[in-house]
Amino acid sequence: MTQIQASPSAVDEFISLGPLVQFPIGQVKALELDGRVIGIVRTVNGIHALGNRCPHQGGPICRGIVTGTMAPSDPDEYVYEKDGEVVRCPWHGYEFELATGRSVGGAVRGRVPVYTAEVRGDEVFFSWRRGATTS
Amino acid sequence: MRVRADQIDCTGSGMCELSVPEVFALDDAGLVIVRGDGTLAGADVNDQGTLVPVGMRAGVREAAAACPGGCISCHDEDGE
Amino acid sequence: MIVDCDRHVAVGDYAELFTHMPQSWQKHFERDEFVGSVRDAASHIKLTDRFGDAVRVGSEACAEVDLALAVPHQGLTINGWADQVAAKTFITALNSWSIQNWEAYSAGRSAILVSPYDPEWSARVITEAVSRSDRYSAVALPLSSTLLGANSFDRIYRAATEADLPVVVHFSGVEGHYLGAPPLSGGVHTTAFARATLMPHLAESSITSLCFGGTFEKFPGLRVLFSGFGFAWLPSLLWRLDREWRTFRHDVPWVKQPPSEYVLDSVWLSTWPVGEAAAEWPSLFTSERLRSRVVFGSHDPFDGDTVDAIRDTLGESADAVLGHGSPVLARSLGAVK
Repeated sequence: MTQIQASPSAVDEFISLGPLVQFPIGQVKALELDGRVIGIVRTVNGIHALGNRCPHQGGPICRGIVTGTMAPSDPDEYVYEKDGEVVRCPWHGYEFELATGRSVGGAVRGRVPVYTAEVRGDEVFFSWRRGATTS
Repeated sequence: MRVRADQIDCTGSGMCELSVPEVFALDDAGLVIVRGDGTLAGADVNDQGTLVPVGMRAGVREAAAACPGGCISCHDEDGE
Repeated sequence: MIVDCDRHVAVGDYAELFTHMPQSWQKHFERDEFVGSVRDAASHIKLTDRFGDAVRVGSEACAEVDLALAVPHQGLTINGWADQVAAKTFITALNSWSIQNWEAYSAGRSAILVSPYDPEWSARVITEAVSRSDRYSAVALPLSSTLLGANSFDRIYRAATEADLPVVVHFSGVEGHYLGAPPLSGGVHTTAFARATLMPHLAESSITSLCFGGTFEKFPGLRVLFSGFGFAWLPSLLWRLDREWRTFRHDVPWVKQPPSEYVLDSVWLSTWPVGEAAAEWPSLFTSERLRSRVVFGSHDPFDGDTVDAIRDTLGESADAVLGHGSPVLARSLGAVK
C-alpha cells in the first residue's frame, strides 16, 4: 500500500496525494497516511476520501467495491441508481454513500468516515477535515 | 485509567454512548466526545485523556474493544 | 378488558351445514364417504382423548373474557382438499352456520373463512359478509403451499384492510400431511404430534414471506394474527430478518425499513401454548413493543390455556397481554357490551 507520509498533519492542512491519473474511476485506492489507512474513490462526478472502518463491525471499507444500489421501490420492481456512488463493505455487504458515508436505506447506524478530497489542476489533495453531515 | 476518543476515526455508531453514557456522548455532528467537560463529577483531563472512575473502567474498556471505528483508546496510569 | 383471540367453534354433525347450502350441494355432500372423509380430515388433529369425536360449540365463555374470536376451525382443513369447488361451498355453509350460532358463545365474534386458492372469490366473500353482519371479527385464511407474501393474496389483504378486519392464520392440522397444504419442516413426519410440534415453523415462514414480499408496504393497515403457533421464537426471528435485510436490502428494495418494524406494527401472536415461553418471556421479551405482539389466545376447547395460566406464566405482564387483543379486533370493540 502506498504510504504518503507518516508524520501527523493538522486537520485542515491539505496534503497532495499525487496525480489524478493515478486514481482510476470506480475503485477504492487505499493509501496509508499519518499512520491511518484511507481510501480515495474517483467517480465520474468527483473524488471522495473514506476511512477504512465500517460502522457495523469495523470491516475494511477500502477493500470494498464501488457500485450503485437499488432505490426503495414498489414490490417486485427494481430501480438501479447512484451508479459509482456507493461503496459496499466486503464483510457483510452493507452499502454506504461515498459522498456522506451514510448507510444506504438506513440499514445500520453510523457512517463510514468521510474526509475532504479535492482536485486542484491535475492533482488530488486531501485533508482530515470530516465531511459535513446532517443527522 | 484515562480514556481518549479520536473523532477522525469515529463512525458514529453510538455503541460507546449506549454502553457507558456517563463517559461517552455523540456531538451534533454525530461523532464521539468524552464527557470531560465537567458533566462528569470531578472530571480530570490531561494529555492522556479523561480520568475514568474505577467503577466505569470495565465498561469503558469494553466500549473501546467494541468500537467499530477503533477510535477509543485507554491508557492505564502508573500503579494501575 | 380480556380478549381471547383463539377460540374454536365447530359443528357437531356435518349435517347441520346442509340447511346452509343449496339442496343440490346438500345431496352431493350427504353421502357418508364424503361426510366421513371430512370428519377424518379433522381427526388427525386429535392428539389425546381430550378431543371428542365431534366438537360442538366450545365450552362456555369464561366469565372474565370480554371479547372472544371464534374460528370455525373445521373450515381450515380445506387447505388439503382436492375439490376446491366443494371446499368453497363447505366454507360458505360454515360461515353461514357460524354467524347464526355465535350467540352460543357469549361475547363471541366469528372469523370469516376464505379460500387461499381463490383470492378473488375470497375478497367478495369478505366484502359481502361485512355488509350483512357486524359479528365478523376477522378473516380466517388457511395456509397453502403459496407463501403469504405472494402477491396473489393481495385481493384478500385489500378486502380485509378495507373491512378493517385482521387476517387470522391458524393451522388446520393437515399441514405437512396433505398435498396442497404447506409442506412442513423438511419432510413428511409420521405422526400428528410431530407435526404439531413443528407448526411454529409455518408462522416464522409466513412472517418472513410477508416481510420480504412487501405486503406491509402495500397494505400498511393490514393486521395479521398468527394463532396457535406459540411466540417464544419471535425475538430470534426478528433478529435474523433484520440481519439479512441489512446485507441484502438491495435485493428487496421494496422493504423500506428493517423487517422487524413491520412485525412490531402489524403482526400479533397468540399465547397458546403459554408454557413454552416461560423462560423466554422475562429474558427475551424485554421491550414493550415486543410484548405488545403477544395476545391472549386460550385455544379453547382444545387443551388450552386459561386466564389463570397466563397470569401464572407471564407474571406482571399478564394483565396487559390479556388485553392486547383489543387493537387486533378493533372493529368489534364498538359492539362489546
